[in-house]
Amino acid sequence: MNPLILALPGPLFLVLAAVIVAVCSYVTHRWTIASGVIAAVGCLVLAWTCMQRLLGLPVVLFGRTLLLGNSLVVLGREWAFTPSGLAALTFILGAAGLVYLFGLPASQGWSFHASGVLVIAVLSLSITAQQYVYAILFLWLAASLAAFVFAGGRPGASIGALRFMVLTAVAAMVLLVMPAFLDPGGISRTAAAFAMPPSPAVPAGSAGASSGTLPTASILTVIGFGILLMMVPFHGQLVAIAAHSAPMVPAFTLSVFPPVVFHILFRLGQTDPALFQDQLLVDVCRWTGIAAVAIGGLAAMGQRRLGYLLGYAALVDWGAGLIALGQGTVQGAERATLMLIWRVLSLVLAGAGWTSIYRLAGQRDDLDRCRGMLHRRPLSTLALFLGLLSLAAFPLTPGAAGRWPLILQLMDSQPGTAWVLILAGVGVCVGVITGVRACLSAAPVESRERGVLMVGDTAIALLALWLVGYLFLHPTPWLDVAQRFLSDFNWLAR
Amino acid sequence: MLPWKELISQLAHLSGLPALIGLVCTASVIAIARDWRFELWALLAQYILVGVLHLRMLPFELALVRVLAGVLVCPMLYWAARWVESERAHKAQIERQQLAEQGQVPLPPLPWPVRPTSGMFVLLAVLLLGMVLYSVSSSFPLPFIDADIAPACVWLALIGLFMLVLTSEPLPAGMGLLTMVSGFGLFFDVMGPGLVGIGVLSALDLIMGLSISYLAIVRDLTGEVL
Repeated sequence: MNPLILALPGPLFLVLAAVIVAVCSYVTHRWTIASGVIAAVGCLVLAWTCMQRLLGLPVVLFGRTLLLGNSLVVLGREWAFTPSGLAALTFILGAAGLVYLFGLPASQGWSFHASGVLVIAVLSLSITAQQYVYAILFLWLAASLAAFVFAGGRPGASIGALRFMVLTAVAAMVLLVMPAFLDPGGISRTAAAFAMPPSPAVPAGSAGASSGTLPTASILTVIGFGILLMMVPFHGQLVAIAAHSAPMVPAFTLSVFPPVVFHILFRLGQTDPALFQDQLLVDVCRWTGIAAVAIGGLAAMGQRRLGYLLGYAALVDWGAGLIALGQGTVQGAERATLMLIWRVLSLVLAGAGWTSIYRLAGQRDDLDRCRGMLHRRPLSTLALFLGLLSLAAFPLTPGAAGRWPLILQLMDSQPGTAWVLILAGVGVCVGVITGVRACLSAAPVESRERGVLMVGDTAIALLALWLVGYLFLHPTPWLDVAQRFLSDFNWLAR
Repeated sequence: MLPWKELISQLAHLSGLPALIGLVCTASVIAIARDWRFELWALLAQYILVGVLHLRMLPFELALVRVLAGVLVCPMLYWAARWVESERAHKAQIERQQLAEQGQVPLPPLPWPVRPTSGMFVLLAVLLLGMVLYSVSSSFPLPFIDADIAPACVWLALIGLFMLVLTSEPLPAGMGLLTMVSGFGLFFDVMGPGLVGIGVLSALDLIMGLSISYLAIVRDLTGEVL
């Protein structure tokens, strides 16, 4: 072997590297900052590796050129890099790196860094799996592991984790049963290779429809993806994760899981477009999206806890993404993907600010405990509320870049939906004003603080504000990643 | 073939009815019993009975992997439940001492895990689910799977779902989830998952068992894990 060249199958390298980062992060988990830095640097380096691979550029790490093979075959099952998969991995790893970086000011739970990177390792197996069954199985495995990230060893923090684990398991079971109904000949094609085109002898849809099993498969697909996409009435998991977990956990969850779900959904559509011909999923996305926006907007107005406020604000933005997806067009899918990116930036900004406030408030998120925070941590408070306003699509924030084009488009075709989106944003703003008032009021006790913590919090908040502002003003790399993510899926244009 | 292996392989020729009757009993115990020890023993027996049904569709070695994964989950849940119970007993004892010092009469400690419904309600609900099973099995039989195994899949899924609806306590809800996944595992067999598929599903059983144990412990922590 050339000492300067290391050849490995790409998917294997990614998993091994992520596991090594997870182990290093776990070994140092008692020193939160060291563990966080290892996880952040590891994820950002792997994101850069995936980006280089996506652009077809050589990957050089520590003086060694990495020759990453395209695929890994284990017992006849294949894991391979595809342009859309690499784009998804780049985004997931990059976003996770930012989450770890801006979560440094306070502990997010003993297992946040190590288990989080392990979850990403398993999700990479889901993204690169070339068989549908394994993509779903590894997604399920990652969701089960994510319980350690959500609960984080904090008393009583099990509700969000349990809901997410149970609902993902139910969705995965439904989606794993679905292929049996997809094949008119029975279960011969149940391994439903993503890459395998429909058999020419059995045109997709025709024979299935005649056998009467295609509608069943279609309904199962809607149920499965409905749960995974946290559609109403399964939206409770999103709010519960935000309300019962550490500040950076919502950003982590909405960074790593939705891209994988979108990836599986779009690949399934590419392999079996007949499943989506009845437009059932599109209709369900649109209506449940409107419901999520309405519920989130109404509920956000009356919240007295930052966790719930963040959860309902995220629900509004999530619902807007579902409405975009529910348009059933390439443009809609692009908008949903872009909103995913802007949402993560908003959540990272809000999480970066909230992390400092959360620590100062004694790991509580009641607004009463946040009194005086605007004086004690002005930049952290600014980051938190700017992030929340961004989730409300307040003008000149990253969230607005994703939602306002959708609102303007809907104004012509569905003005009612457009007004629901606007009013829900106003509802979140009302909740934010309540929060700002609480942070402006005088603090009950002025405790002495360590200067180094204050400087660290301010530096992290400043960095978050600058980075999110920079990415907002220079969106080309993100737009490029989104386009590459959708490049493999021409069925959306049909 | 080894005699014990031959003996176990003979189980594959059994009708599904005895296993179904066994599964009806074990799943009912998991849903109705108030003591987690009975529930865990029932879960263990359930994994073994499901393993017997796996033998009908999978090679011996793969069926054994599924049974082993299930059987390994039970000790994880046992240690978690044991820890939580002793922790709660310890806390209750301290509270009782404090109340006694203040001259108040302490209340008897609450049972754990807390069930929001009475045993009679659950019993009646399980009987109702039994009727649903009978109706569904005769009117809408599960496709692709043997007719004598299909009711076992449906029954485990029904009881699992029922338990998930009933409680948000990690231990009972987790046992409901594991019961549901056991039923799903039987249907998954007919899809020819192969060694990798069975391996991943078994790993899932173990990871879910670990996560449920962790969540059960986290719910009753007194301070943050460092």
